[in-house]
Amino acid sequence: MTLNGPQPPLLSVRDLEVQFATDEGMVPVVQGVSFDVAPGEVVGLVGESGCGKSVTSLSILRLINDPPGRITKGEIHFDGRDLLTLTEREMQEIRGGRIAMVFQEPMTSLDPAFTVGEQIAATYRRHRGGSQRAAWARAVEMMNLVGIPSAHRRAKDYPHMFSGGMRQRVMIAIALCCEPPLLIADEPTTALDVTIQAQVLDLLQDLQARMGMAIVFVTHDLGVVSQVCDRVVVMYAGQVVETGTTGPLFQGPRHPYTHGLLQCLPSEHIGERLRPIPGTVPPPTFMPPGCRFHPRCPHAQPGRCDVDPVPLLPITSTRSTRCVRAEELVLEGVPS
Amino acid sequence: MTALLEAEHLSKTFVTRRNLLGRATTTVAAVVDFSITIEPRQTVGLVGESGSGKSTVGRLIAQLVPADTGTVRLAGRELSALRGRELRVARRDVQVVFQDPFSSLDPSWTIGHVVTEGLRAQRIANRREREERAVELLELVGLRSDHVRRYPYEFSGGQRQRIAIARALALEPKLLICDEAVSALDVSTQAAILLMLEDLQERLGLSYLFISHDLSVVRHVSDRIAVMYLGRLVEEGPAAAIYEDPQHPYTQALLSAIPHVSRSKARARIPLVGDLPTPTNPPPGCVFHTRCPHVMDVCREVVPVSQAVGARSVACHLVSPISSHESKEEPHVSAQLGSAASPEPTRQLPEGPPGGR
Repeated sequence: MTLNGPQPPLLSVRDLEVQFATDEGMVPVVQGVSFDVAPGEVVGLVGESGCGKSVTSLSILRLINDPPGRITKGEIHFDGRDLLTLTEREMQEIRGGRIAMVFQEPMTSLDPAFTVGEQIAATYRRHRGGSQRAAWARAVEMMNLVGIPSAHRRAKDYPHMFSGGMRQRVMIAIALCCEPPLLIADEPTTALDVTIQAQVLDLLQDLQARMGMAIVFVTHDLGVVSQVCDRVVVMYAGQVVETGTTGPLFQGPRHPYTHGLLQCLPSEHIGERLRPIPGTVPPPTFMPPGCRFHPRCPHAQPGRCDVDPVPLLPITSTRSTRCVRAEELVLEGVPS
Repeated sequence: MTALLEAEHLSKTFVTRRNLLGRATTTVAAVVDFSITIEPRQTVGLVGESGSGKSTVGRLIAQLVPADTGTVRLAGRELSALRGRELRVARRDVQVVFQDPFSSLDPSWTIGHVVTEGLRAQRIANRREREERAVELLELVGLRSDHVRRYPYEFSGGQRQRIAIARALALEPKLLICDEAVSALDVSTQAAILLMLEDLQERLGLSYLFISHDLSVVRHVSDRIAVMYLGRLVEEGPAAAIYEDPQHPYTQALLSAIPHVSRSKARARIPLVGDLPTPTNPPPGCVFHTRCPHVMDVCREVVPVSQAVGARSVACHLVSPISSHESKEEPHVSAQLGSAASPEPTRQLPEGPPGGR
């Protein structure tokens, strides 16, 4: 669903830096992050715990708590405006109205004291106004749309009366009731069982096709990314290390970290010995000089990889990578 | 070869609510008539979704909760009959690694203290021997000897799981039960732990019961796979056979739901409608019939009996038309599934052919 041509991106994150307070002072946990999302495009933001993918997605909606966190640099263009320059009041119009978000744990995102119908209707009225009755009708319509059986009756139920999968459908109904052009989904299916995850992914893909919104899909699960995303942004230690179109990126990774992640997947290497990435992710207070991945990289060369910071550079029209050896290395991907 | 572990007909019902007189009003049948065999040096994977009863099976085998009915025999000895000192000694042979290494390690204990807890509880080594053993154990799981004096908060999730494994190995068990032991870890850490478990198995001759919701991980480590649904074993057999050619409609749906990176590996999706039924009030007949795409009338009334089909066993009316003693060949359910939509209403016993074939 990638729309090529001169069309400007819907969302453009430029040189984003987010710092967090630690015992050693303010430390950047996200640094120099840039990526675009075209209208109607599904972009996967992937990486392991601590890579900065969730901080990046929360920054788009300016949901980083200050303190301890602070957006210290960069621009986030959406709808022709820089979100980082808007007032809090203007941001409230954006949140839920123009950009919606679905989180991993639906139970903590829903208010236990209100019926789910009331919660969907309240979101709708907050942004679109209108009568209580119209908002309620919209709530029931949305619950039907996300596949909740007997929506008319269940709209009067409280969150605890729903299963995990159904609660996530309610969250999606709340997120999409104002038909936002952009949805940020942060690990929306991670807490769900695999058969329920499949249902929710089908639903998201179906709604995306029908409503045409763009999605930033934050996840650690490369299988989910491969299934739902048009394009992938791979993050490591607070930086984007590789971006590209989903299929080609997984078939032919151009960054050793992307390659390392693919080598770790049991589902893609049945009957083979797994090859884990050696070492661990560096803490944000102690980032190695040069390429942040070089201490763990089997292809690292002294003098080239451990001296200067490595920029994210385009190597084809659709692929960028943050590796000085990108042109020399031949890295094996997974079959298409 | 004699089996290391033979668990037969295990059942466990938990009481979730009692009335004023203390009589049970709501019960959950967590495990119903479950049997499993594990050979020495073998890994058996146990998969199922939340509420399938897979963790309860692990606890029943480890004697952490008593079974209502059924027996657990380890190396020919019945564990469920043991009491007191004998049970305590027998427990050395079965150890458990749990999912969350953040809650399974006491934050106020040093790592040396943590990994030798079993030795102290079993009173089988003096202080000096325990200190030496702690170092040995940490090196066994890829940690350094100077980690002995550190505390759990100083370690990452993957390192903590290594500590939990070292603790489980301290008593030189024959069977290690890994209950979602790698589920909370990032993929690169998960791969490192899986690799270590494989190496330990080779070096120490361990058997594993590998409990997980992740079929890809289970397929990777297991020799055999058992699939549970709502407390029942629905299919069990060699890992490759289960993975390549699942016979039970639930196993088929579960496998088809795994998202693969390589799109050619993705199977045609078999969507399951609805949620898992509540285990307090399981459906009659086959417990899977409320979500099964091939449901027949017989499924709503008759509980399917587990049938041996070649090297595996399957509990499904679609698979049981030929009783196992008549024919040893594996019926190809997949070819039959299309016609199963118009079944004959039968009320025959599960041994008899319920038609459709």
